[in-house]
Amino acid sequence: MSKDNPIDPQILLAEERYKIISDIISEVYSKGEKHYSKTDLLDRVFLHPYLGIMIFLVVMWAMFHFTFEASAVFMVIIENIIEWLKGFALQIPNPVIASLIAEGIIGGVGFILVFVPPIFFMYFTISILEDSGYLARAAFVMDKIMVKMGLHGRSFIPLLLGFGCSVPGIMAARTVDGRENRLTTILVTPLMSCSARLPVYIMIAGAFFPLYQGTIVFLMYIIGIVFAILMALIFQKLIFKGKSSPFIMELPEYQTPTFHGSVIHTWERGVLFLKKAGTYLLFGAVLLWFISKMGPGGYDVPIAESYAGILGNAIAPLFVPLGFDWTIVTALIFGFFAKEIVVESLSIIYSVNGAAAIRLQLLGLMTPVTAFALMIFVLLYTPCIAAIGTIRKETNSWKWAMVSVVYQVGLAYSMAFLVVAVGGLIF
Amino acid sequence: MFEEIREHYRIVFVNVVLNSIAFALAGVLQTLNAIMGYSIAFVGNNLLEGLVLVLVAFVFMHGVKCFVKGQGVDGYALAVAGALLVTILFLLHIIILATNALGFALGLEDWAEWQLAQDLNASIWLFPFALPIIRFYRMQRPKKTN
Amino acid sequence: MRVKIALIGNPNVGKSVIFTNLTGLKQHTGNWPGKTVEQRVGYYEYDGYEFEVWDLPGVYSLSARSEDEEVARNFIVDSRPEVVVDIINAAQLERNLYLTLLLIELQVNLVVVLNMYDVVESKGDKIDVKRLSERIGAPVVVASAIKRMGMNELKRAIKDAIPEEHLKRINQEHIHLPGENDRDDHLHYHPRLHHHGQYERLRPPTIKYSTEIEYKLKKIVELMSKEKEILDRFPPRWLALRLFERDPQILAMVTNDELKQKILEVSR
Repeated sequence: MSKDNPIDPQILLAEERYKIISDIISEVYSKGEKHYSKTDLLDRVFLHPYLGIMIFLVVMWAMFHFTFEASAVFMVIIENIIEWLKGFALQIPNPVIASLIAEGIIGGVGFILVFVPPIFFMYFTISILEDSGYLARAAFVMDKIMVKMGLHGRSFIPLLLGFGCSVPGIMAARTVDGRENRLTTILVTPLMSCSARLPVYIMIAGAFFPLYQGTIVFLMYIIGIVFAILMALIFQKLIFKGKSSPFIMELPEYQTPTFHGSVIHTWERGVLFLKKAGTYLLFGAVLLWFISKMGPGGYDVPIAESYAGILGNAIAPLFVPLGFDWTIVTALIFGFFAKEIVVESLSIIYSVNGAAAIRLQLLGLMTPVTAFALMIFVLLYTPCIAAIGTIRKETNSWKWAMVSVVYQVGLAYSMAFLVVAVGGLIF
Repeated sequence: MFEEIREHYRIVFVNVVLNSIAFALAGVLQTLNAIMGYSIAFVGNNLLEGLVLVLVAFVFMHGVKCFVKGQGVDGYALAVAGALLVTILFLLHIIILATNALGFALGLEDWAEWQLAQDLNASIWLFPFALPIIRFYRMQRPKKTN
Repeated sequence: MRVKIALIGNPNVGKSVIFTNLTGLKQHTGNWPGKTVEQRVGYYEYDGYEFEVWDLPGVYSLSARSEDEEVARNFIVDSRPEVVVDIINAAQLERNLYLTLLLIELQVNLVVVLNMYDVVESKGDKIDVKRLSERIGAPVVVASAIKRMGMNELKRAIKDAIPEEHLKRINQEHIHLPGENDRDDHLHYHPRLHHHGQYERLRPPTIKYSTEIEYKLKKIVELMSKEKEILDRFPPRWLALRLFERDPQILAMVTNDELKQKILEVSR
């Protein structure tokens, strides 16, 4: 063998293996008479350049419609149970403990539990889409659009996972080739509306747009996608100047998803939410209760004189252009820990009973335009501390974690301002 | 070619034409309903749902086009995909109907004025139109060998 | 002690469904140490024995170039599970068999699951399962995980793949300690932890490559015959194959520069 033999031994071995495989296949595999399989048949339509996208939209709508409409009853049922528990807790003789349990823990964490049905329903639909093999097709169909817009095709899967939770989405960016493409994907994945933001939308849309609740929430998801794509384009063009490349994707066979399998997958994901409720959100609720009850003046001061009120009032001037008052600002600050806390803290700060009362409070505080701006703000700003930590871990630098926080807060602020400004002109 | 395919897929062809018309009508009606703020019973007035029905009609229409152009397999594929979407919408609305009925049965405040007719919208009563395609598809599938 | 088995397969072959079917909710998840790859371990009982199932990440090959492949390969090489269950998408046999060949190279105790067999049938195609099993030298179980079909057969095949005596020994809570002598033959190849390994050494390779390559492999094995420490860790044939294709991770273990040069010479 000469020294400059060009054949790479790796390729040589791979060729050998494929030879053996085709030998085995020809021996064991016998093709039947020509028949169109389910997969061949459906892919003719589902992977069609523009029909595929239309079907994707229909499926997405069905998914959100199911999530919100079918879970409504269960939300009210859980709410009633929580209210009953709260009434029970308020009978505790010691007023401090009664307030901690009723207003802090049950009012905060309990209120979050109201959103368990839509979150579980959403996970359930994602499981069904995944198990049926449709999710991969959706990625494939969208890939063509993404590549046309100069994005890397593989980015779609992390973005899609971002609907559930930003953290696995950011981690899935590892499958994206090239450092620049990967960084872009990591930076824009948090813009996809994760399930933790859902309670905020439901609460606000329920108060201000009761007739179009599902539509408004659907719109939020679409806006999230639009901004993710826009920002990815900006990052690619301005910072990285990277090139996109088409990608090869595995398209699994279609399967009829089973109820059993989907329930197990839903539970696997949903239990993480419950764990979060039992740990971070519980801690957040107790902390929030504490700082909203305590102030320089001691225990049980009016909410505006509490530490939470002082903190919110100190930062509130920054948000005057957006029309957010200090209660909203305080909720948004705590929303950095986790988006569910936005809802939790409003419940604690207003310390009123039930979702209906919170809606009334909000209606008194904001116009529909400000409410929409608030939803946009919540959609676009940093999802949670865990996401920041994951970005740091995945990029191995604080720099990119900080870049992510700064650009998201900036984007959220400017877009919310835009909504208020444009809305003010129209209405 | 055209004759041959129409012969083979006759049931499907007829149903695809029917479905195209039915879904286009229901979709346009529902969209108009939503825009004008009417509430005609059994149609519904959700804007997005109306548009979704139009999209479904579009899938079926595309199927008709393929059949007419003689691309029978594509037409058949579109019919099956359309019927699948119809089934999904049907199941979706049945579940929503059931949960609303649950709310009503439990006497919850928000469901006090709920009526069955509200939820019996186009997505539900149009489902039978897609049934023949589903049946045809199930019959076409080869039998298991073992 | 539990019987350790590993699930491996290409992405999208229904591996996680099989994992769930086998273990139900008796599982826990975490991360592989130092890695961002998810680690799932579950348990089930069959025929009075307790099995511990490790769900490896979905991979197309074992080249250790991505984190997923590295995790899968290192687990099989270092932990030497009693049985490696390779899950194959029957409808994409050609692509999926590539990983199977790599596992055969690793000389693991292999059980192959032909998943999604109903898809093949629905096309009217057929696979000669018996012949396939003969060709790859491993039991093949036909399954449709999503319909929960073939799961009992799989559990039986896993159990039958392990010699009865060995199963009993594991069951007796006997844990092998380094340096411990044992007369019987074993499944393990990990002499650093278990001083045995004849079981696999005695089995001839089920898949052979062209004579030219086989000749080179033999030469590399001869060259390596003095490297006791490396030979203790890996099956010799697999080692030779990796050195032949200049796997950087394995090549780095050969510290003797002269020897390394000679090996590179052979693979040229």
